[in-house]
Amino acid sequence: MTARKHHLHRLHHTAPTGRVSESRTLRRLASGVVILTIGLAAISLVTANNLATQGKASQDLDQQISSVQSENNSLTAENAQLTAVTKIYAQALAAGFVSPKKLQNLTRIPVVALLNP
Amino acid sequence: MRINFVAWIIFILLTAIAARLGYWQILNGDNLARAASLQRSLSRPIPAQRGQILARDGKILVANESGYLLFASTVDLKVKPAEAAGKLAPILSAATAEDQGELSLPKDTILPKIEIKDLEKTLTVKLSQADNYYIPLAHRLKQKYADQIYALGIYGLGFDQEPRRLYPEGSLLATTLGFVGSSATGDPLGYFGLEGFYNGELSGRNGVQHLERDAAGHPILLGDSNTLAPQDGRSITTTIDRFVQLIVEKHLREGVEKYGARKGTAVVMDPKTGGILAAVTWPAFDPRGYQYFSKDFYTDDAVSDTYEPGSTFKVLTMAAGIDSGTVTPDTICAACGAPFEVQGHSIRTWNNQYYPTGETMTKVLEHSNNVGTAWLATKMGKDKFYSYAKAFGVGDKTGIDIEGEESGIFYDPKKIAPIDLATMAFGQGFSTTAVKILQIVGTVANGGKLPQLHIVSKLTDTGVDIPLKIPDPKQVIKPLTASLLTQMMIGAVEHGEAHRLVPPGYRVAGKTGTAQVPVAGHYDAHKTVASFVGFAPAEDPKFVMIVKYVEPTTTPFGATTAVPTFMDITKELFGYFGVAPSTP
Repeated sequence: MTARKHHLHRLHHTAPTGRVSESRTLRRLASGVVILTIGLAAISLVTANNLATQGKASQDLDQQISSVQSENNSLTAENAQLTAVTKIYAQALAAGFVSPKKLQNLTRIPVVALLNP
Repeated sequence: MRINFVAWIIFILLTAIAARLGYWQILNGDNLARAASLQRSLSRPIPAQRGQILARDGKILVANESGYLLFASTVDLKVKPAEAAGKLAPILSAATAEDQGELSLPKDTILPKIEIKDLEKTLTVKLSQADNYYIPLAHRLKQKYADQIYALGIYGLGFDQEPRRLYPEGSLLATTLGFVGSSATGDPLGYFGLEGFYNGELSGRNGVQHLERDAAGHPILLGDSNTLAPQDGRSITTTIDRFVQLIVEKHLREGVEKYGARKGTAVVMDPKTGGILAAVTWPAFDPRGYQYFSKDFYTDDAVSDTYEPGSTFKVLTMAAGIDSGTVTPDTICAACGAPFEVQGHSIRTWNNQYYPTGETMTKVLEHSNNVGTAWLATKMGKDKFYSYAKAFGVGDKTGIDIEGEESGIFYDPKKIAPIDLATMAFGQGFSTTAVKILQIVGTVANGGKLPQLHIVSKLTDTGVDIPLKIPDPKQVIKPLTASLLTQMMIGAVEHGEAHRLVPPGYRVAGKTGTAQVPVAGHYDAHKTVASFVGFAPAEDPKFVMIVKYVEPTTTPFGATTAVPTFMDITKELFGYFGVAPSTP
């Protein structure tokens, strides 16, 4: 009798305790899922943001490369035009230079003579 | 009961969703995937840079500068076509006017005037095309004009890179350089000259970039992207000396005007290497605006214009005669006392003067004696004459690396009659080019070795130089023959009409030529091709040069047209090369 009573007492007390534990586990699970979802969403947001930022940065770099190449081309073109022989000739004429009428070639001193004065 | 009802509702809904998903995924999956791919993927061409063309000192003859193709997408155009055209027309008109203003044009050239209203109308028509994503409106715009158009903020206009070819020296060397136009597919394509000949090396290969983009149009870094890098064209370094080119071009242009010639050609070559130092054809086009010139101006006459060389060819006949042992410089012409009769034809001298005694081969060259040369060829025989002509490559191309070289016409020896042999000996009855005559005389200047004419010395591929293999020159006459012939050619200059024009203290070897122009089966009495070919200083030649005028009107002779130009250029080249006089 005592043993049966004791058993009933255990049943009586055990049943409510099990339901409480189950509900707590479910709540924890739900919280975990929610936290995980929020976490994943946050990570995904950050990653997407990073990708978008880096994509933009990559595009900016492309544009910068293109701009530098364009500038390089312009400088090459400017340099070529400034050193063009036709331009130099025209400038020389404008500055009053004239072609020599008579050229006189001076005999060059041999290198040997310079080395042995 | 209620549970069953709810379960059925859920089942039906799920089935409907599954069916719809099946429709999108299975039946329409491919189309949707394609549409999505088009929406997020971006594919853009990366144009290859065309190679540069450089002078022998590494300075730029042709390069690239930024240029843009302006296009419109009428699907995206947010303003009325007329409004957009009204804003674009003044800018595009100014761009064209600036391009035209930079051109070197012949005096009588009248360029089509650009009326802004006409341009506006044309643009309005183009912009009124419905549902067109790509309508090219202007080509190769300079950066500043592209910036001005961009600043208008017209949605629906776009730019593609379309580099402009830059010519720092303007129209200098135009016919040798050629120009870059468009192929049938709209890609840049080199035409004529070096641009045409080396188009494959210069053009490179365009690249392409495929990438995924986000909703804002920015590339997605980890997206499905791949890039085929462009392969820039190779640069070519020529043997052209800009200063020599300037000197030659200046004098030839003056000469064409002074002698009223239809056109003129001059080519200067280094006899030891065969490298071309300068090449001029005048009148010529301007590569910056080739479209404004007649196609007749595009060809390089030095390689394309075939003509009867006349007396300049006597150098080859004499070389063959001496080298084969038929004559020596002192051999006396036995038939020079009167016109030379061959097959019923009478061959006369150019001035109808005859020399019954003492007309040595040296004198034959000095007098430019047709009778003496015809006599020599007859004495030599057609087989020997022909074998030397073939050894010099007469009737063949020189192989110079410029597009459009012609070989001329030289007849088969089996078909040569005695009269043909006699006239061919003094440069009549066949045709050749200026560069071939230059090569023949260059052989004499080069100790009897036939120089391989070329204009490009190396290619440069991404900073790595690739020298071009130039074939070793072939010995076609003995060095002694070349030396004797040099002396004879010095005599031809010093004892001919040109002697007053030779710079004092220098020795120039050369030969004049005045060839009649064949027209409809006979020679036109009033039209000639006047030329002079020679080298200097004769003892150690620094250059070989040919000057040729087509149909000079003030005087028909080479001695009075080509020789003065040759000597004017020579004087300046002696100064430029630092050549000291050989005699006091």
